[in-house]
Amino acid sequence: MKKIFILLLTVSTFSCTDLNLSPADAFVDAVVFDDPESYRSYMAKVYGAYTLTGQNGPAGDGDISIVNDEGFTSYIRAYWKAQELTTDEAIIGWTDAGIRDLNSMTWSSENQFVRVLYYRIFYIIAYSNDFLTQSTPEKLDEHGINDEWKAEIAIYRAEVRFLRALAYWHALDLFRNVPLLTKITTDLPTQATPQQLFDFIETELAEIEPTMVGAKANEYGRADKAALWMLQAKLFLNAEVYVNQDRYSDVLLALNKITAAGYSLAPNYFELFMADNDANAAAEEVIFALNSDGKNTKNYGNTTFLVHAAIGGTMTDGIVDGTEKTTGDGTEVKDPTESVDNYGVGGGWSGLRTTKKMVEKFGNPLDSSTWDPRNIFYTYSHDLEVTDLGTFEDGYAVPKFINVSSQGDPGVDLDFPDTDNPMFRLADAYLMYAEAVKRGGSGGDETTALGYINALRQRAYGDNSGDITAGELTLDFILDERVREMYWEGTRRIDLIRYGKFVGASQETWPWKGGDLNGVTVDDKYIIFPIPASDLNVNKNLIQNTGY
Amino acid sequence: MLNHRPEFLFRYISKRFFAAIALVALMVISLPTQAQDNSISGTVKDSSGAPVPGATVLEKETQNGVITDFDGNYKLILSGDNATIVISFVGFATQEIEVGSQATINIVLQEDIELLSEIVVIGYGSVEKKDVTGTVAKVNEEEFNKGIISSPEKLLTGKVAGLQIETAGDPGGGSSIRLRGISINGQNPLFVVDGVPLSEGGVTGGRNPLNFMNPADVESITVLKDASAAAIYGSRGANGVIIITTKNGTQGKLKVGYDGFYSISKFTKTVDMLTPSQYRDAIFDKAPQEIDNLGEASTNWVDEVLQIAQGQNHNLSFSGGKKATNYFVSFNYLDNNGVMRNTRNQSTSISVKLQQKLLNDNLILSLNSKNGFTKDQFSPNVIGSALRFDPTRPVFDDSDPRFAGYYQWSDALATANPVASQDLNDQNGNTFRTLSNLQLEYKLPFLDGLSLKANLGYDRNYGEYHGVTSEFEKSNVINNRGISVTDQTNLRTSFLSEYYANYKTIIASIDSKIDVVGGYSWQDFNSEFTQLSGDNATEIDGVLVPTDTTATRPSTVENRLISFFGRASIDIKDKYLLTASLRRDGSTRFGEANRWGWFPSAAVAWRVINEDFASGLTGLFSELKFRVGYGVTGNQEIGNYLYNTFYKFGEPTAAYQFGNEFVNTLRPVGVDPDIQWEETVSTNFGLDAGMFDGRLNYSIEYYIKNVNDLLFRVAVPAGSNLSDQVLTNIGQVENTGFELTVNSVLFDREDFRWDLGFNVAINSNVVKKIDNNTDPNFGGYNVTGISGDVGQTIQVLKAGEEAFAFKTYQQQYDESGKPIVGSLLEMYSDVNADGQINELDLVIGESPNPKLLMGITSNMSYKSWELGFTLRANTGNYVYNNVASSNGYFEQLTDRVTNNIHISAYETGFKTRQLHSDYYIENAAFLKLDNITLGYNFDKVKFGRIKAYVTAQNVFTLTGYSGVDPEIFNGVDNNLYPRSSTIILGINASF
Repeated sequence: MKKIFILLLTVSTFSCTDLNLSPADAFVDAVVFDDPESYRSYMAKVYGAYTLTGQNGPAGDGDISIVNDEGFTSYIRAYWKAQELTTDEAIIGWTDAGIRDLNSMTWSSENQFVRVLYYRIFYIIAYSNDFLTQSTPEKLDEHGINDEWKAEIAIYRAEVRFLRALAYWHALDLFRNVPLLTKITTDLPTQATPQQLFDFIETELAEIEPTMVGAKANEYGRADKAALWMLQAKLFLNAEVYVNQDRYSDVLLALNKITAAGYSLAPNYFELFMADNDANAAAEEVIFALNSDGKNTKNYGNTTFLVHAAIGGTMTDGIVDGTEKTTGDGTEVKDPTESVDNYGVGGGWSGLRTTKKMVEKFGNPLDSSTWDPRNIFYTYSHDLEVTDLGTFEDGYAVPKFINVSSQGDPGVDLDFPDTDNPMFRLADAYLMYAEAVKRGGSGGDETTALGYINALRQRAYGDNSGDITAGELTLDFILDERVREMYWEGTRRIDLIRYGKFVGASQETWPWKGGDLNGVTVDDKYIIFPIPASDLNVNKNLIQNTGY
Repeated sequence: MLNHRPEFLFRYISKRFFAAIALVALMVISLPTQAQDNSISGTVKDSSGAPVPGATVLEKETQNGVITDFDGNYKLILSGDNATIVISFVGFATQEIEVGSQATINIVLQEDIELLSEIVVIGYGSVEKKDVTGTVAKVNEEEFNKGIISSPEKLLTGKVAGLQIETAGDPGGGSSIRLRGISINGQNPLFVVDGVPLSEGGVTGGRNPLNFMNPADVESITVLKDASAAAIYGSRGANGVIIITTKNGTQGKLKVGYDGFYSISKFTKTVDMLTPSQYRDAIFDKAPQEIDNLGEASTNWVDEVLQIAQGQNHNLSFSGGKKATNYFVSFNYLDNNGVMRNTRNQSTSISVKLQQKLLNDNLILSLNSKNGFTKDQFSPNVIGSALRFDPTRPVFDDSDPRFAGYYQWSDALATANPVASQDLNDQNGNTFRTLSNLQLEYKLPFLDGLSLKANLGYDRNYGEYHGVTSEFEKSNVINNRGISVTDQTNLRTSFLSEYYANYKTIIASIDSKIDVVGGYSWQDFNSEFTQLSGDNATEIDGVLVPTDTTATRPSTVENRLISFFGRASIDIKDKYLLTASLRRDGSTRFGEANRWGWFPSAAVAWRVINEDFASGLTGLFSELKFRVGYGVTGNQEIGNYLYNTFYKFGEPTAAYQFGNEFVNTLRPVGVDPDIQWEETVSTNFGLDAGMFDGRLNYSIEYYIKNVNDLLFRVAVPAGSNLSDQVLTNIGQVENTGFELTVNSVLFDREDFRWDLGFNVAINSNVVKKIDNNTDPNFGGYNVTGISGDVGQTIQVLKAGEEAFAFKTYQQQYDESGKPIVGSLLEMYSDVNADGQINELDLVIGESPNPKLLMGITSNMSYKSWELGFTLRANTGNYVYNNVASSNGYFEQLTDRVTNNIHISAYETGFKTRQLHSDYYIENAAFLKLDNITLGYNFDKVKFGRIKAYVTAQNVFTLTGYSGVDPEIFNGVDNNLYPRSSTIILGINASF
């Protein structure tokens, strides 16, 4: 009691009008950026914002609060759904509010998955803008940063501008008419035209190219010049869609730099999607990956989603690749550790499957012996047809991403994979090269294009039995080859749009398109997503995309 | 470190325990002893001639006194010559009589009108009830709820018009409190205990931050309801103020009280899931492909996870006082098991209150110390899995050796065996809270009516939580994690330092009384939190140490409030009463430009009863008073450091890999630097009336309460700030309502008395503004997660709607009244007629907010018997039946594995989950008999009084709601800890 009494008297003598308190574990910019390591940490946040959802792994202290579940706010999870669930490559069995509207193309401006994708994109943009404001040469001088660090931070700035350009490319591709912001401002943003966005991305990439670290010369996980060239190639390849311009020669200009940079195809296609893809031979093919780690980079997006959501049912119930394990006397034995052996995780989330339409690209859907060797389909107990979206066994499962290393070992954690997400890889560059040549771009030639495509097929078939001839190399073949090589890697929607097969007069249909079991055509407005109503609601400058 | 904690706590408590024992012992020893034999005796009666038992007969200026027996008789041995005796009893005027040579003195006590006008504590002072100008409700000990009461707010449930208190079902559970409707931020009223405002919230490891207090110590509770009363608490007054006054020692010899009970609790409702035989039928009918997979067992999983729970409580108090000193000391031990297995709340509290008068009674020192040590045992919430688990599966089964003998599905996301979850998780919390304050009051001897007061307070709340999950628990088996351990500690401290002066005087020339108070207050709040968790733990020296460790960065937050306050009251001719108060609060939670806020109030009252023209009314009315009050209060429960962009490092589990290094991420949080106080402006009109010599009292209130500049986390234009949503002063919420409070003495006969209290409150709520609202398609801010799916919400905040209204699809029904089952377009109303059912077809409807709250308190006594009960009703409150919606569809029978389903599936015919159908929004109006107590007072017990009682708690609920319990604060019936019914046998003795 006496102690308390003394304490109270002490406190009472402090009584004054001091109301300045600062948090013990957080800092104002003037303090935190005195330490040069802070710029590295801040850049790590911008990279991490593509995979992580908050400051605590796997969830907690989330970045984005406008939807109810932090796992939904993962950039890659939202991006992947937008680019794949809207196509013939993937369907989802879950009933999260609004998720099936992606499959059925009935989304509204209130769809939470559309909303979270939009806010994720602008989250990256806002953080990049703040990073760039906090790291100008003048600011670095103010903070007393030494010359060695200044040179390093200049490179960070280029990379952050790259990450911002990447986010703007996604914004242009998915929402088309969005504000173009380069700093944090209290002014109400106004929409830029697609041309302005396109020009901004193009100019930015050109400006930062000299400062970016050379191809394959940066630390693993950080973007280099080759990542930048890939982004240029993707922007220009779709320029007709975005701004009605023929830029195929620029595609080839960028791709030629990549093919000259010393990358090589992974000897084994499957190793590209395994837990050790940062270290196995596949790393030679990967140009830019979003990193994942079961211990240090835990989240419910990125490959955690891609591995878990794709498996379920009998896949984790004692069945191996369609063949039941049997004992000597022929009785079936269920091995409870099955999912760990095959996928490196404790169990599946029973969500994603594919449609018949995609399986057809690999061969006769009913005869697996005809399938392209790149297929990673699980068919045991599964039906080819998706009569019920909610039944995991309807539609073949696609366990393409797994948390097992090329040596057969599971990742460090059975919940959160180590598998990195190869966002850009050489095979995509090869496919884009062939397409740009076929679309009349200069700076490339058909022979090289055919060589690239056959290189992919030789890797797949293990020999030249799968090679195609020059005559077979058509634009339509390339689109189908993109499915066989790049399925479930988040490019299908963009590809279908570029080929005019997503919406419009020559659109294709597939199961559940338009909400119909067999697929129906949909309105042209679905070529882009609506601006979320939540943003229109607070920004009267914005005009909703046509049709929504 | 871990194994040191309990030892430390044990030392801490035992030290205090023995100190308190020593203190009591000292007082007992120092009581005067009597040796002389000149005695006086007689009978004390009231003016009607009825004996007054329990009256105090005291020899003046000594501690020598007795209490009259049941027949009003007394006998007192006087300690000195020329004695004067003082006879006193509550409600009667105290009399002094010189004994002289008399041997027998019979006394007739006169009822004291002045004393009947109670003293009401109103914050930084007190007033007589007749002089109150604001809306203030006082609840005295006799009216408190009976039963297992683990914390003081539970005494009040149903007792105050417009005060809604809902208590969770777990033992020692927390309460959700709301006064006069709902707002959006920080709903709880401010609690002030013996002058110390408590910080909001509790610590890790404890269920309810108020469990440290012994409810038996509470003498009375005052609720400051309107802003004119609460504005003296400024920025913390917006949700009302609950002032708890604890018992003091009174002059006289040592009084010892004991109250003990034994309780038994049981969950008496049934849950509408299929029984094992119904379930087998369902599989045959609806999922015949699973017939071969049916299990052999018949398990009622809900019964398996519940238990009949016993409890006990022992309360011991000592009080008394000498000339200048009085004391009150109490010990309480409550052991309360929950009806869910492995849940328990044990609470030990010690409180000491000492008052010492010095300097010719001009200086009064009061020392209060309340100390509570609470042990809580938790269990994972397995209600959801108990509902869902296939009833044909056994609890135990050793076919899969990984699961330690419990039946489990091997599918990772399938429901885990709830009994295994209970048995394989060991979750315990310890909290120790001490609230102490020292009050000094100095009456200036040279200026009558002026006194200076100081109040120094210290509140320390330490909590620790220790959780161990066995390596055999399902998710640990599946994810190969071994034993998981979580350890958390949390220390919250608060210092209070306040000084104020009070001046009371009478200005005879204008026949007025004046009461002025003014002062300064400083309060600082600090909270420290640590967490260490990890997997694959191994035992090292008896302590489980995880090998895969994750440590959370320790966090410390601090905030401070500095205030200047004043209040002036004037009472002119006992007819016209005026009160004005002003508080200026400064808070660290806002930026420099917005740190300080003004909180003014004014109220006037007119005691019509004292007007000459009302003299004709005095036969009927004993009181007739009109009141009008206006005030501004604030709310600052919004978190810390939200006015400035602070950069914070992430946890090591959320790092990003560059090369071979995992780099900690650094993140700023978007803020509105201009945020400021949220202000609530309220106006209150009131009428107080007393009739039939005060046997019937009632009050009628009408209020309008507007939260202006409501702080709301509103969406920012994308890209224009660092977060997608930022806390901004943007919204407006309005509550308006009527309240009626009636207190009556229906009978007051010689051997029969019946007190009946009744209160009713009607409230209507609307969110007037929530954002700048420029898009009609925007459906509002979706809130309140539900179970059954990931990331789903059921309520909304939107301008023009009630706060937290439900947002659902309109179910379509066929001619027979059954829901249509088919495509979405067939099932639901296509509100915008676009040929699709999506978010734009959701309709905002009813809300969980009750439109009417009612409470009835009855206390009867007949001869030696006492009977009391509390009835309570809510109407206009709606509940989303999430138990039915998340389980009531046939596909769940075969979802991943076989599962039980809710019987509503047979009513709806739903094949798939329809979480957003308005079918599940139900009217949840109810009438509850909260508690009923029958007591018997034993006569003719020489040394004191003994009462035996039996109490039933949560006796019945009348409701049309189809779920287990309609009383659900946030309106979502979802895996709630079941409320049990309880029978208590107790004994109450005092001597």
